[in-house]
Amino acid sequence: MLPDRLSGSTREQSTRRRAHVVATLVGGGLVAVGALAVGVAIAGQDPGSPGTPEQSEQSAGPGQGLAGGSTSRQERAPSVRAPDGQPRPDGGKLPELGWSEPVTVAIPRIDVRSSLEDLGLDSAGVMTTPQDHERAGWFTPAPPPGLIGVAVIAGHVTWDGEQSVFFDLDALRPGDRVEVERADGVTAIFEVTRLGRFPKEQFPTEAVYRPVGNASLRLITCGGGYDEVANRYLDNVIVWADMVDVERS
Amino acid sequence: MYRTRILLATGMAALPFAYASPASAHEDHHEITTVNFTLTELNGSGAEARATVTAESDGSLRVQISGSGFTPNSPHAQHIHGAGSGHKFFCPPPSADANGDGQVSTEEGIPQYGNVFIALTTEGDTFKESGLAVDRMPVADAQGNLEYDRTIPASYIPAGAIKNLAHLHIVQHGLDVNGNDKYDLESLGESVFAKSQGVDGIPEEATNPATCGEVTPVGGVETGSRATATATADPETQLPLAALGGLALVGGAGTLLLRRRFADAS
Repeated sequence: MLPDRLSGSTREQSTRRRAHVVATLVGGGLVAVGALAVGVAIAGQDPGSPGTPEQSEQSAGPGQGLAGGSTSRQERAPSVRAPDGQPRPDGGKLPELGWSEPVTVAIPRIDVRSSLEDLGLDSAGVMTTPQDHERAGWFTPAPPPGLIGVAVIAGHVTWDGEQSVFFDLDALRPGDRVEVERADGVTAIFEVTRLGRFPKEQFPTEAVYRPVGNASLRLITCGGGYDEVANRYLDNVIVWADMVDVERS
Repeated sequence: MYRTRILLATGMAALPFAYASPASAHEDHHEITTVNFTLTELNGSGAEARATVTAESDGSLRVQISGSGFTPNSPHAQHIHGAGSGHKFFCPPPSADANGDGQVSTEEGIPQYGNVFIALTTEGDTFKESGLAVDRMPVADAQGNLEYDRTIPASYIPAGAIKNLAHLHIVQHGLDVNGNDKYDLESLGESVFAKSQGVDGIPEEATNPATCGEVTPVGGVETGSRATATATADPETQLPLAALGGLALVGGAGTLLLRRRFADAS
């Protein structure tokens, strides 16, 4: 079922990218005129005030995603419910998986399917990020998805003005599915339970990494305001998910 | 074909930004110098700790551990577990309790967190043969606090340890199952692990793991460079917004802040 869903989404993404490239060219040209001039620009249909990242969060339960659920996004996002019924709510009945490297992550609602790089730590103990901004990465010091504990997958939101693999991560909602295919042929299926945006200076380390008694997953990308001087986003978008099902190919 | 054109086009567009390529978001993988571990309880010990392991430039390894909730006035064997390569080790889940006695013993945990790699002794060598050298292991104070700070000479550090630091685990042993503030044979009997190492009469309480620590990254994740000028894919909204950004650049001063649509959630 994945390939069908994905071939459609790839076309859509190509269309999106093309539109985006046009805009980038135009925008880039104007920026070139401005050369090294620095200014304050508020772009996008964003009614929020810039520069004041606030912690926002959504927990499990029906309702809207963080972004408020734009119509266009819903149109291109297919239903994420399993065609054969409800995900298993009781994680305790799931088989306990052994160690196997994750190969791909797929997030149907936001049309993401990505192979995975290996992520580690830099010399300061900070998580490294994918070299290829169109791919997500698995944080190898933590367990692989499907094992009891906290697996972590991170991806860029943008790269040099272009949308990256986790650009739409903030559109996820509790109940959405995240599918991680592993080298052993097992696909661990997770369900989003919670998502939030946090200033990096107040990154919820404990809530993200503290060991848990079930197979869980964290997806991380950037969000919030972009600090042009420091070349970094001010916030992290974090998605918490628990394994609800296992499929074997 | 089509894809190539896109790359070329964005490459040109990005040229004005060339001076601003991000430093932290895309850096090469350096040799790790500092790794933080968060140690959480195993076997209902009630103990927890934090550890910082720093690879010093002279090849030595400084290990700092600060914990609480340990069996008071008792030595706690502690080790870095794992190997000099690979990353298949992790802290054991409760299911690692193979014999179903309610405790993940040292020998039951080893398939998960690996063998003793560095014995975190207070003095002398740190070879795995010293893994049970309780006379050289740190002792918890009367309140159950356990502090450890030692710079281990390079000559004691096994090959691959520094390179694979992020994939190692710290395990502290010794817990008080029956709550009498000491290790004894009453609750769990004799240590199977110690016996297997040729040491008789050691309580299982003294050798069962009390905490296990996995790597905890510092702070947030730098997963983005250069925000997109626009948030949606609609061409009709993209162009005016990009233009707005460009105009502001030309005329403005201060810091450029491109907000993603995300803010409308806050």
